[in-house]
Amino acid sequence: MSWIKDLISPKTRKWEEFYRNRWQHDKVVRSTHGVNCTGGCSWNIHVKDGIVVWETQALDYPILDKTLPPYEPRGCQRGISFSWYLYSPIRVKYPMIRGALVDLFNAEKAKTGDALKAWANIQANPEARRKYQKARGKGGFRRATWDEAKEIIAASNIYTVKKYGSDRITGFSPIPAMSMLSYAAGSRFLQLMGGVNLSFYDWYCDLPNSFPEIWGEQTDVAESADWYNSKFIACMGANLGMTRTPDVHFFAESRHNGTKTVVFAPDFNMVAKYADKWVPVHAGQDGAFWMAVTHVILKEYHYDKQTPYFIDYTKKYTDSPFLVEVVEEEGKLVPGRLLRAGSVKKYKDIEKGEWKFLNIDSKSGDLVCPGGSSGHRWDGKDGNWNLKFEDAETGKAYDPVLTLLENNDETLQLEFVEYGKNNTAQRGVPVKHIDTVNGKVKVTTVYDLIMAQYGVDRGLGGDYPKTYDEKEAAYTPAWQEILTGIGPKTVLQFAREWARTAETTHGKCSIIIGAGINHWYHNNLIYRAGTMALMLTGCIGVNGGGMNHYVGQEKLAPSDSWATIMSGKDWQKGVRLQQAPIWHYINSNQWRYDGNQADYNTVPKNDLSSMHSADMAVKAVRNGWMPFYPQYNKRNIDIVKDAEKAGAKTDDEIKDYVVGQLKKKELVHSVAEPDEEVNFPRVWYIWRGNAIAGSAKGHEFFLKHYLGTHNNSIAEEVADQFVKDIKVRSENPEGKMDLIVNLNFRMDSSALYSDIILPAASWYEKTDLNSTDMHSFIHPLSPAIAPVWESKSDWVIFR
Amino acid sequence: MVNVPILHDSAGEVSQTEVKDWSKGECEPIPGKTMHDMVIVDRDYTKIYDKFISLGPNVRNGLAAHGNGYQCADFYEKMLDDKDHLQVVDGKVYPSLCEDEEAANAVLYLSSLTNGELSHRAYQNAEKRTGLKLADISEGAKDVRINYKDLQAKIHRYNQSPVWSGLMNDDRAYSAFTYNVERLVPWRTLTGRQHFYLDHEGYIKFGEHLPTYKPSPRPEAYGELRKSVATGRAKVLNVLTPHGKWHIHSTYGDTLRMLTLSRGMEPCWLSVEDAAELGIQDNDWVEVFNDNGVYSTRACVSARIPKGVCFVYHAVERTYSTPKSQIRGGKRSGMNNSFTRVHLKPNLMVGGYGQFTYHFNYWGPVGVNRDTHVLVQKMEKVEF
Repeated sequence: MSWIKDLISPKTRKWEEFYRNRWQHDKVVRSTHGVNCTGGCSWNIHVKDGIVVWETQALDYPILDKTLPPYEPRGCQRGISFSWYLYSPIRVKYPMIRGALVDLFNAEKAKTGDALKAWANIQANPEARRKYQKARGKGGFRRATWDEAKEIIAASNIYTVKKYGSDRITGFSPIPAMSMLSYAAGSRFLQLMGGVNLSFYDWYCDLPNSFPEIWGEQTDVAESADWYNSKFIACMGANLGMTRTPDVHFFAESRHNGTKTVVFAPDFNMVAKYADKWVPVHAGQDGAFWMAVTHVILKEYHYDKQTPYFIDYTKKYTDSPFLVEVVEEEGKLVPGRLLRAGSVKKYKDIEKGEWKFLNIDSKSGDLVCPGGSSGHRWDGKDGNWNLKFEDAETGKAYDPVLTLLENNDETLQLEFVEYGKNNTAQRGVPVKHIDTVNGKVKVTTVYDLIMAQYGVDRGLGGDYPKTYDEKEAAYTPAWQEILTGIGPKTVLQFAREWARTAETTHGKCSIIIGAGINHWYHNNLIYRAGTMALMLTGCIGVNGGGMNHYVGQEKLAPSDSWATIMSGKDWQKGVRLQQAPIWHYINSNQWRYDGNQADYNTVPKNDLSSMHSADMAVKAVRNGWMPFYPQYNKRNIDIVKDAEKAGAKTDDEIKDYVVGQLKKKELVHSVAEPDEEVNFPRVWYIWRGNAIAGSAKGHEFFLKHYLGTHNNSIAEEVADQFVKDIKVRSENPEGKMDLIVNLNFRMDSSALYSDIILPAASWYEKTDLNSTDMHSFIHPLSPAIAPVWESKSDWVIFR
Repeated sequence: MVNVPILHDSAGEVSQTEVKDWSKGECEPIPGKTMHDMVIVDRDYTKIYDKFISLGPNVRNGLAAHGNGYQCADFYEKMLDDKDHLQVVDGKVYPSLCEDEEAANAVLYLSSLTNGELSHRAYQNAEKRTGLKLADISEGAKDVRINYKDLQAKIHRYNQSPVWSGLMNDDRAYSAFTYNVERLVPWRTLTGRQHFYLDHEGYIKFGEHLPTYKPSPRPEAYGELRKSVATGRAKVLNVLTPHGKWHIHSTYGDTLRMLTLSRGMEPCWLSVEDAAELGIQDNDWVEVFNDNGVYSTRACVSARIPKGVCFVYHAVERTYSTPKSQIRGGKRSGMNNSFTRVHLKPNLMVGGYGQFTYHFNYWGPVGVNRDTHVLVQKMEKVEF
C-alpha cells in the first residue's frame, strides 16, 4: 500500500505547497469581466507581489426571496481563464502604429514641420493613401510613444472636422453595460467633438425587434432567479448550459420545484439534456410551431371554454378590445388601421384625437376612449396615462367588449394570407357599423381579427379549418408539421399543458429565448408567434412568466445618469447616435451586392414592399425614422455659415434654410449618395469590441470598402437594376477610411487591421461598473493592479 | 448642425399617422414632424477636454431614461461641496469627472437605481402622469446611496425604479412588466397596451400587421451563391453561428486554456450524413464558402447535428489556425463573418409612430445572419 504512505509522507506531499503558496497572496480585490457574456459574475482577484496570480468566484451574493435558490456559484471556465491575458504574448503593451503610415507621416512632417499639414498631404495623395491602406492586415506595426500616436490621431480629427465635418468621425464600442465607464469615455469624447456613436445591440442582432413592436421596450426580461418561479419553461434558441453557464442551475433546480421544461433546438444541445422534452424542430421553424400552439389555445381555452383568467387578462392588458377598421382593397375586404377617437363625433374635438383609440363598453354599447394611449401620454394633460377601465375623456368606468361575436351588425368575409404556402383564405369576421365624421365605417376588434387570423372557427363561415388535421389550413397542428417536422400530437400536448399550467398558476409559463431565434431574417415574427401564446394565457408581467430574451448584456441598469454622461448632454444638446446596421449596409457598400428584398422576403405586392432596402433606408432617413451620419454632402458647419450668409439669424431660420436647400436638392443627404468621396466616413475608433472581424457582418466587404485591403469576396453587384433613389456610381469605391484607431489589451483581428493600436487596461486594471439582465446586482471592475506595461484605462486614454 | 431622428419616449411618437415622403412632394418637409429635426449646437473645440473632465450644468435640469425623469439639482449642488473632487473651468466650479472613480461615483450618485431619493422622485413624477399611486414602491429605499467603494466591499442589489418595469420589493425576483400589470402603468406603445395588432401602414403593406409565419428566404433569392463554384464534392448547407463553449464571442478563444480544451480552433460541425456524402472525416480540413468569402477550418462530424445545416460557433479570430484558402487562390482564409452579408428587413425602418420610433439600440433593422447558405468541401492541401 505504498500510495497511502506517499499520501502521509511529508516529503512526497510537497506538491501541496503549491496550493498553500497560492493562498499567500497580498490582497484580494473584487472585479468582473467586461466581455458581453451577460454573466456579470463577481470575482475575487488575488494579487501577490504586484502580480495577479489567480481569480476565484466571489461567492458572497445576497439571498433573494427565501423560497429561491441562491445565485451561487457564479462564474465559468472562460471567466476563470482571464488572468492569462494580463501577461500573455498577445497583450498589447505599447502604442503601435502601422509602419507604412508612420513612415509617410514622418516624411511629410519633416517636410512641412506641421502634423496637420502632414496628414492633409497624405490624404491628398491617392498613392500614399493606397500604400498604407493595402498594408492593413499584413503586419508591420511599429512600437510608438503615446505622444506619437496621439499626434496622428489629433491631426486626423482636426483635418476631418475642418475638411468634411465631425460627423465623418465615428466610434464603435459595444454593450456599455459590461464596462459602462469605458464605453462612456469614448462616447463622451466623440459626442463633445460632434462625432458619431454606432449602435451595437441591433448590429449584433441581439435586439429583439418584437419587444419594441409589442411593448415599446428595447428589452426587459426576468433575472435568472425568476426561472425558478416558473412552472413551465419553453427554451428555444438559447443553449443555457453553454452560454448561460452561471445561470443554468436555476433551470435545473426549477425541475425540483415541479417545473416542466421543454427545449426546442435542431441539435441535441447542452440544455436539452436538462429538459423533460426535447423538440428537434427544423432550424428556424419555431414560429410555425408556436402559431399552431396559439391556434389550439385560442380554440380550446378562449373559445370552446372561456378561461376567466385568460379572458380578463387579455381584455385588460392587450390591445384586443380596440376597434380596427375593415377596408376594401382591390375588391377584397382586409383589416386596416385602428379606429381613431378623433374620427367619431363624440370625441372629435379632443386633443390628439388621432392618437387615441376606441373600445365598446359592454354595458352601454357606447364607444369609449380608454386612457393610456400615446395620445394621452403626449396631450399635455396629466393623470390619464394609465390602464384603468375608465374613459379618459369622460371619466366614466367601462368594461370593454372583447369580441363582436354576440353583438354585431353583420358578418363580413375578410381575406387572410398564409405566407408559408402563399394560401389566401376568406374568413368570416363579426363587424359593427360606426358613424364617423367621414361617414359610416365598418369595424371589428383586434381580438376578432386574431381569432380569424389563427383560423379559429366560430361559426362565421368562410375558409376556417374544421379539424386540427387540415394540412393546408393555417395554422393547424397538421400545417406546422410540414414546416417543423414535429408531429401534431406534440403540439396538442404542449399547448394543453401550457394553457392548463397558466390557468392554474395564473401565468407562470415562460419562454427563454436567444440568438438561435433572433438571428433569423424573420426573427420578429418568430418572437411574436411565441409571445402570442404568453399574452393570451396571461403570462407577461407575472413572476415565473415572461418572454425572457437573453442575447447580449444589454441591461445598463443606471442608464438614467449614465446616458447623460456618455453623451455629453450635461453640456450640450444634439447627439449623433447612429443605427449601425443601416450605416454598415450603406457605407461598406454591401447594399450594392444586395438583390431586391422583395425577392427573398415574403411580402404582398405594393409600392412600399417592392422597394430595395437601400431606397428604404434613404426614405427612412429623410422621413426622420432613422438617423444617418455623415449628414449631408457638405460640411455641416459650412451649411450653417451659408444659412447665416443668406440672412438666417435664429436656429429656426437656419433650419428653414436647410429645408429649402433640401427641397431644391441643392443639399443632399449623404445616405442617398454614399459613394461620393465627400460622404465617406473617415476616422473610426474601435474600443471594447472586435468590430472589423467578430461583429463585422460582411467582414470581407469591410476589408474591401472601408480598409481597401485584400479580401476574398467574389460577390456580384446587382443593386443597380432595383434602386431608384440611392445614387449608384459606376465606380465602386474601396478604402474609404483614413484612419482606424483601436484600443485593445489583446492583439485580436481588429487590432491587426487597424492603423493605430493603443494599449488598454484590462478588467483587473481599471475602475468601472457592470450590470446585466441575468441578475439585479451592480458590480465594480477594479484595478487589482496598476495597468501593466504602457496601458491605460479607456477613460484615461480618451481623456 | 446635428440631425436628429424622431425619437421614442418623446412627443415625436405622435407625429406621422401616414407614410408620406416630402422629397416626393407628398407633404411639406416640417422638421421633427414629417422629417428629421435639426439641432444647432455651438461647439468650442478648444473646450472639449475641459468639458470631458467636468460634469456639466445641464444636470441641474434633471435626468431621465425611458421617459421617466426626476429632478436632481440639489444632488448636483451637493457634489460641489465635495472639495476634493472639483474642476474649475473659466472660473466656474463643476463636479470632477477627471478620474475613473469620480465618473463611477457620478453615475451612481445621480442614478435612481443607486440613489433611493431619486427613485422616489421618479415614481412621484410617474404618479402625476398616470394618476396612479406609485411612490409607495420606493418609500423604503429613500435613504439608499450606493457608491463605488460600497460595490467593492460587498454585492449590492440596485433599487427598483420606474426606468425598469420589474417590482423588487421584499427581495422579490425581478420579472419584467410586473409594474405594468400590478400597477396599471401603460406600456410605451400606441394604445398603451401590449400589441397583438400593428397597424402602421408599413406593417400592413409588408404583411406583418397580424402575427404570422413567413418562410426563411430561399438561398437562390438571397443571392450569396451566384458565382461560387465548388472544385470538389460540395454541398449547399445552411450555416448557423451560435454562441460557443470555449470562448465568449472572440475573447478567451485565444487563451492557452481554451485552445487546449477545444480543438484549437472553431471547427465546422457537420452531420454524419452530410459528411459521409462529402467524403469528409472528423478533423479533416474543410472550406466553408460562398460569394462573400471563405472560412477554412477542421470538420467536426457529430451525430448531434441534423442534416442540411452546419454550425460554426462564433466568433473566431484570424490570429490563429487560419490557413490559406484553396478556393480563393491561396489568399489567407477569413473567419465566420467572411460568409455573411448584411440584409436589412425594411419594415423595421419605419418611424414617427407610437412604439415605432427611433431610439439608439431600440429600433431599426438588425444584422441578421442565420439565413446564410454556404458550400462546404474538403481541402486537399493545407498551407499556412
